[in-house]
Amino acid sequence: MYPGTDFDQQFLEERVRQFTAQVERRLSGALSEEEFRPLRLMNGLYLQLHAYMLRVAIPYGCLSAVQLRRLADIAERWDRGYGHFTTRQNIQFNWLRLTDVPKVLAALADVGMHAVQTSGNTIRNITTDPFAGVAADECMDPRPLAELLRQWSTDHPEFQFLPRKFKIAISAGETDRAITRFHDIGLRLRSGSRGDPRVELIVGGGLGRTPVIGSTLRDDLRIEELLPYIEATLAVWNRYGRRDNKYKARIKILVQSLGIEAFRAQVEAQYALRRQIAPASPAALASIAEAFRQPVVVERSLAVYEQALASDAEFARWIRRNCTAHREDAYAIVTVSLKAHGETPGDASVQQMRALADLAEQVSQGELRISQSQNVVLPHVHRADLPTLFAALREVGLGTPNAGLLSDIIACPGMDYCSLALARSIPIAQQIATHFQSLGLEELIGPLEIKISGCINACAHHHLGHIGILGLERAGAECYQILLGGEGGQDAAIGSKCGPSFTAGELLAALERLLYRYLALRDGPQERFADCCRRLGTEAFRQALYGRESDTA
Amino acid sequence: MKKIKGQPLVLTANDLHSGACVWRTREGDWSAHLADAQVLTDSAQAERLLAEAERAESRVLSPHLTPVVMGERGPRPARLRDLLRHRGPSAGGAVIRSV
Repeated sequence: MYPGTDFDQQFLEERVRQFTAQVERRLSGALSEEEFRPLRLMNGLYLQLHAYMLRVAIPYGCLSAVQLRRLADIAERWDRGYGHFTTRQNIQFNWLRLTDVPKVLAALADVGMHAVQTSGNTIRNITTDPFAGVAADECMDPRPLAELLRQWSTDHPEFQFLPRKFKIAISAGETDRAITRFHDIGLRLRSGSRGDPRVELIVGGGLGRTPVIGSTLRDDLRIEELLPYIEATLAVWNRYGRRDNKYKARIKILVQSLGIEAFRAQVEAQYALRRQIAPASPAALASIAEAFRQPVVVERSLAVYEQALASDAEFARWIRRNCTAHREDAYAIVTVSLKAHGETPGDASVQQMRALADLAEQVSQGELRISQSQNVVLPHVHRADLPTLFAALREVGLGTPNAGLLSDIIACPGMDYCSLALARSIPIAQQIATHFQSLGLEELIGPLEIKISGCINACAHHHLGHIGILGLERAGAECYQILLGGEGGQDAAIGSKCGPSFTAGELLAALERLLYRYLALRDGPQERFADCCRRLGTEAFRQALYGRESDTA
Repeated sequence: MKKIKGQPLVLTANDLHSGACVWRTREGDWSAHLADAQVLTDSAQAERLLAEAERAESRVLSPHLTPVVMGERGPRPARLRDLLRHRGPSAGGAVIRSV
């Protein structure tokens, strides 16, 4: 974890004072809603269907046990006993009163947390690999770079009034776990010759109503060039990006309209002007990297672990599904599923948050991560601790062995909470999870990503689901369109839409036909649904959705 | 907003302080309970009250008229979004059920 500095702390305290005064002026009538709205959005505060919603930043998904305990306190004292983790590694509180928000922000600032730039037309929370710093397949730890970008982008005077929001993701693994091809800027780090890391800068990716796979702007940036190059990219968009139509305002639209070559020429021209900015960034990066506390590695007997693995089938299944290789063989990266069948994806209760904070202190050196798939990660768990960890997680409903399986569904808050949604997402996710569990098909089907968004804004990344589900409204009723074959990682693909939408009542049967068709067509259990879709094309599956026989079946 | 001919309406908004859903009562006040809402059948009156609410932003935000169906236990929003605002999230799950 990065400890944060006095500068950060002073900034947060000052911001809390400012916002407290702004809320007072709004309540007294001195500020109109029109005047207040941009101020509250600069501090992550939305008005949703039932209450105010506060989106709290979890910088690049890294959270300490102390911070998580504070989030639990906030949920208990000022909210309704739970929080919702998002696909951008943040947490949202759904039931706040405006009058309590200053107190909530003060409680957050106390542990170095805030809601700055989690909304509005600014650079949003930088996201990265939830396994960063411990993954066996990464070329370097991306977190210091994420922290450098966080420091640079926070309150950056040039980038507070961008044409629209701007999202940056960084990945340093061989496997891209940060969805870099679908961000305004995605950074892929790799080790260059002589150990000198190089960065691929991907620009203009995104989802929403215009899903686009990002294009490579530069493939060979050195770390020291990165900050001025990103700044040059933003400056070009800030100057030429559209501001007349919010649906055309994202950088992807500018890149598409100029073409990547012309866009690159503009960025290079800006870069020539700006390459001297932040000359101290390599030194700053080095000192940030030094400040990151590295996990302590200890040698312990693995006998308990091996015995449990051999004798406890449930434990073995959880290890297989929810544990990932750590760069130290004796350790594991544990994905704690917030997707118990029938629960709300990404929600954690106060009790669960407190249990996770305690467990992080006991077995993961006080650290947690929030993943893009709305789960919690314990990044440094000695394998000897895994049996007791599994037992403790099961006691609070967090031991579901379903990471990466059908019920590990990403769902946005949908019309149950969100004022933009056209249809509900959460009940659909709950029904799918419990239905296929009762059929006993989940393990048989194997790795499968289902992503459900309640509107075209695509907060749940439905375009990237192996099965994507998009909520729509038809004649005043909710309905759901299915997309097939999406993928967020290196084989980035946008799912293709499959004809007429289904009512909520028709959806389960359609998915059941689809997945039975997959089981019939796949080339053995090792062929994932996504791969099978890619090999055969989506047509055979489309036929199954609508209950028609297929030539390929 | 779209006019819905012939359907009774209620005026609803979110309370500035709490953000909670509120319904305009016959007395011109705002209540947390839909049962207290004044049911409007005269569209001119409904539009007038809406315009009034839009000027009352020191009390309420996002005021809008929404059609209701009259039942034995009073009005019930015809639109799903306002039905959810009235009833709270439909989503099950122990976390929400425990609230």
